[in-house]
Amino acid sequence: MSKSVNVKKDRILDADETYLVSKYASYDTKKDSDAKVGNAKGTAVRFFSLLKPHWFAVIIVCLSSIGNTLVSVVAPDYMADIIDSVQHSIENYVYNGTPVNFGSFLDFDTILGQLFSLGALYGIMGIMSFIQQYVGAGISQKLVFNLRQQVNNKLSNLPLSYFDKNTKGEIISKVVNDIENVSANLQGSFLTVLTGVIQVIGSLYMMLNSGNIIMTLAAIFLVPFSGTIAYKVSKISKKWFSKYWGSMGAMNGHVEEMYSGHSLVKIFNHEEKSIDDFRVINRNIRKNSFVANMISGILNPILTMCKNINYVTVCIIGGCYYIGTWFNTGIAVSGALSLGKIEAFLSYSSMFSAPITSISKMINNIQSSLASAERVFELLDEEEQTPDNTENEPEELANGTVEFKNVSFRYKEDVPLIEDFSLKAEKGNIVAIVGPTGAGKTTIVNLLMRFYDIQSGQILLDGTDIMTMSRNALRENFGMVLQDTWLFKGTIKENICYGVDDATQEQIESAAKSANIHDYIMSLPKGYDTQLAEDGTNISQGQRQLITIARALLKDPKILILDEATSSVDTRTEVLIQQAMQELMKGRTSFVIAHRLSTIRNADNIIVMRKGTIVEQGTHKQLIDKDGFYAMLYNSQFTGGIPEDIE
Amino acid sequence: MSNQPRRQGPPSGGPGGPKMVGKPVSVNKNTVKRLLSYFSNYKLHMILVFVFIITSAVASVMASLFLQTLIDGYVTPMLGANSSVGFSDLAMALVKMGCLYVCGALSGLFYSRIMASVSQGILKKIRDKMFAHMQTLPIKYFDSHNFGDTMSHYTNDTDSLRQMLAQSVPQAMSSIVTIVSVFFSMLRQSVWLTLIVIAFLFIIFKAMGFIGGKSSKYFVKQQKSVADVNSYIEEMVNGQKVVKVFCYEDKSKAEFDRRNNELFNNMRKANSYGNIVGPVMNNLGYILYVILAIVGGLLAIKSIPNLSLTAGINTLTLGTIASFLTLSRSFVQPISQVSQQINAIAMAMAGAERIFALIDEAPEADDGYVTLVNAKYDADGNITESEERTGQWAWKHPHSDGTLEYIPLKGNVVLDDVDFAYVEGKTVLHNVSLYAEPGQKVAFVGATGAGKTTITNLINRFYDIADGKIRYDGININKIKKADLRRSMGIVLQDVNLFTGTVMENIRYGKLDATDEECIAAAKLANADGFIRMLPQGYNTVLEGDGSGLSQGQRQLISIARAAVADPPVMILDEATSSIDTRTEAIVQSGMDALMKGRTVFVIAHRLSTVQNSDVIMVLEQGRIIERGSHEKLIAEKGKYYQLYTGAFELE
Repeated sequence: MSKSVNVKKDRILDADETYLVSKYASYDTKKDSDAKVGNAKGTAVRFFSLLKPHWFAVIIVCLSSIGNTLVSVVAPDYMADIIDSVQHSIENYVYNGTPVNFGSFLDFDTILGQLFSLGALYGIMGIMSFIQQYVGAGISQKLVFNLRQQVNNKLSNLPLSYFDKNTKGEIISKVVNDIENVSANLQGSFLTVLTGVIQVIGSLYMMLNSGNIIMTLAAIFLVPFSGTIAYKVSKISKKWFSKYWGSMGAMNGHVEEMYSGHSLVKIFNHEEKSIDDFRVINRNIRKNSFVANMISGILNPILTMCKNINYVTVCIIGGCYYIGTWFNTGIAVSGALSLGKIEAFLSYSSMFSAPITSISKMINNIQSSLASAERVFELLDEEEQTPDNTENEPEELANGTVEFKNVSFRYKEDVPLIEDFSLKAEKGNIVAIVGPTGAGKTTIVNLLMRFYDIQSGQILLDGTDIMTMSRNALRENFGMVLQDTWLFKGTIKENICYGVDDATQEQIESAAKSANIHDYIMSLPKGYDTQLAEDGTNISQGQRQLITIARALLKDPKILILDEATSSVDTRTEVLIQQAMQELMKGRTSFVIAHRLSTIRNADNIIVMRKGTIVEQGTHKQLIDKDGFYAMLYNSQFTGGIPEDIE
Repeated sequence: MSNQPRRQGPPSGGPGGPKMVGKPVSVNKNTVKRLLSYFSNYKLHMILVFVFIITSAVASVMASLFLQTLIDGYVTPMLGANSSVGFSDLAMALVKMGCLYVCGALSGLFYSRIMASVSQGILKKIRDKMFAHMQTLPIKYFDSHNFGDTMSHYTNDTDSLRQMLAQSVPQAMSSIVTIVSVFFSMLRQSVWLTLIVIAFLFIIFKAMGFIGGKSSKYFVKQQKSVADVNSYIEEMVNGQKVVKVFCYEDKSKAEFDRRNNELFNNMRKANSYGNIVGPVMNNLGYILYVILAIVGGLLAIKSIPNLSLTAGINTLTLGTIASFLTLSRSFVQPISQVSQQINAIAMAMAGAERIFALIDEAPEADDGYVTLVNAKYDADGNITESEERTGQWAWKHPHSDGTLEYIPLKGNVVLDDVDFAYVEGKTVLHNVSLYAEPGQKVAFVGATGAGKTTITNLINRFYDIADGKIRYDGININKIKKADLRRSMGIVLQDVNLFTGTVMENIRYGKLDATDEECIAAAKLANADGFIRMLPQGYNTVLEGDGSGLSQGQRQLISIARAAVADPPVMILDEATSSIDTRTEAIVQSGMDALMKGRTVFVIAHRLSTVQNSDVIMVLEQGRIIERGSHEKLIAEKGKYYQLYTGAFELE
């Protein structure tokens, strides 16, 4: 017997559908594309200004579109001539009633000539449209290419505060989704609008040029109507499609949570509840998807109908002109039209309406890609980090003396954080930073590395103000091992080499040996050439940390920034990491976000932080004697029952 | 068409989960049959769809044929000097033609509407079934499958099914009907001209095949490089700090440019081939048109006998040529459409196959027949079953001889000589025996991989043991219904999972019918009440994305409250508290202590304080219990535990 889960239809689904779907809103990745454009005109102008460097290609596209359209506008006239010639021949035959031999039945020479010129026209049209497509696609691709590049360059010039203020998800979405959106809609709409406008004007001109206002009206009277319908319907259907994406997002969210929390579902026996919730969301998907597809499906038949009505109207009115009376009433119609002209009007009619309806359908997409472009521009307009000052650019690496002199810093102007802070760390000293989670222990690190710039005072490296050297020159002196072990997709070797490109295999191995990871790496089938998965998930957390330690060791920095916290690794690995970190600190000036008593006791200087500010500073003994916050922290660990850990 | 590369071969993750062999994808007869079975509720719908598709296709063919009648029957005679055909006749004919158009448009509307509702219905059913089935799958499935792969069944695979049902199938059907009827109409007009069309089609297909092949190759490349660029950006944004520290900005820029360039090149190639298709097709179409017109004209002029399927040998008229020209146009388009749809259908069938594979995964087996019931004690101390909640529970054990036995739920757990292997041949637990009296606290201590979590996985039957016995209140746990077994025990896992929803909903997850008061009481017990009240909307604060707005410690407190509200007699606790500060740690600790009171507790212990006041400590090494006993006893023994305890490092 297998465990049966009730999936009967009659179980009442009483969960609140709207709530259930809306609560998963954060899983809807397409939600951004519905955002309104704040400044549509400005964004559009700026966007088109990106075309400037490609002016030559743009002109070619414009010329070829104009040429293409002109030809296609003129072609019906040629067709009309052919039809008329054929008709004349028939009329001759019918009216004269004389049996003629084949040669004289049709004015064959004339018709053949006309056919050839028509063929030539179509040939030109083909070439023109190819040029237009090819060059046009090239421009838009180049545009997207440049946009991507600009954004990427921008990202590396942004100060760290930008990354702290915005979530990584938001930034990535800007760079990935928004550019995709721009790129997807750009090429199509750009050419459609350009050629569409030319085509509409051209066909209208040709119709008016024939001097028959009534026929012109007959050919286009429904176009404003169908254009409006196309716009309205696609707007409504877009709304439903975004609802549909919302419910799809909810489904993704639900499945993801139930998948990752599957053991909880089982522990609490909530299979039924989770299935019911899924069914409610699923019902919502069904509804939204149906309506969205329905509405968008209605559009084309309606447009075809409009087109056909126009077509028939042109036929009827054209017929009246042809016969010369209005509906056999005997009222004469002035300005008789030939069959060929009527046929030409039919072509113009569709030539006039097609671009208008397709542009109206596209308006929504254009709006959403403008909104995306606007977000990308916003990113491009973000304030960059202050340019590097290189007046005291050091020739070589520093010795490792670091001094904070009366430093003041605040993230927000009205919230004082670090005021008048001074500290001197000689070469080889250990500075421990302690304090509860969220106390701002990384602030000091941020200032030292110039991720943020101090507001007053000085930070001196070997006596040189770090503001007077380039960031790269400064950072070359540092090594950093963070709790968040960042590894990238690539081999283990590449990950260790990050920072020292020209390292030899021996150097890499000796760094790995000092980091206690060499044996593990050698136990892997491909050793140092083992590929790490995108997020490094194919090795354990502890091993990741060891690799980052090896990375720092290989760089052999004079100053070290170390986050001691080790999250859930087993005892053995913990010992390895501990040893590796000790090894790493040897002979270097170290700033340690400290978690171990041994480190703290041996520190030359302890900075105690609380709620973002430095509350105490001194050696272990001084601070215990002071009996302040540090003493309290230190003592609490014994009462709290944590023997060797202070955080 | 999103054609994402699918990972083949064995998925990673899971403690040596079973290897899944990547199968080559092919359209399977059984898959088609099975998919068709989903249509059984929609027989009438499908008949209607079919009728409407035929109507719409026929109407559009007839409308183009009508042009012939129009010219031959009305326009040409009206040119005659003394024609009997008046304008009203022409108007009538036009009205008829209009009716045909309307008819075609309406039936097109109808069938797409019906088909949309059918396909949405079927998709909903498939998704429901898939999810419901997923919920019955054993833990093993989740441990051995990659989440992304499973998710793609819900998104990509169902989407390709949707495309097939709502678009490809009706379009292919309508195209085929159109092709057939147009073909016969063309034959009816002129066999010679039809032959020309067919010869030309051959050329068109050759050209299309050539260009299409080239362009699709580059489209695949383009997709790949888009993914390449995007994942690179993601990686760089995530590693921003490290990039800056190692002064790698320039390098990373250069690498990005390389990838961006590659994307640009692939995109350009794909598009340039793609862009040729349109103009080439158009021009070939025009050429066909002109050739037909010239040949038709010549045939007509020279009065060369024309072969018609219906009328035999006759002469071509102007009207025939005109309508043939229109027909030939509506012949080429559906043929290229069919070839496109076939592609989409094949993709959808591959998706369906993967979906069915998920539905066919063996569900978690449950042969248990012992259930948990509310119990009442009568005056003599005998247990009777009760409908309402009594706060007391008993196991209802029906014996094979027909007698019923009620055993009070106490929380007595015994493991007797248990062996276990996740993968056959790789035994991870050897001869594990232990007993826990009700109210006792059993701590497991040992390195990662020693088998601590495995033991708890066996007690709640996430996995079934290979050898030995586990008894719960004297009952073999294999006899207990899994749902009831799990209802009787609470678990707080190391990985805290919170669900999207309010804090209250997350706590109530422990017991769905718990009142707000019960939830708050549980939160108080778990020491979570204090911080919850500090949240912007208190208990109604909505948590998103696995409670990402909360600290690790807070998330843990909520999960403790969640277990507390269920109030089970047995608790399994995984204590690991990674990177939380001292104060929170102390709060979590006392929350856990409160939760443990009066229950049988199995703790995967990471804190010496917990270990010290356990009734029994099991020291595990490589799947064996190497030492057992109280703290004092183990310290006195000076074995592994003593080393661990006095070692320089904390357990974890």
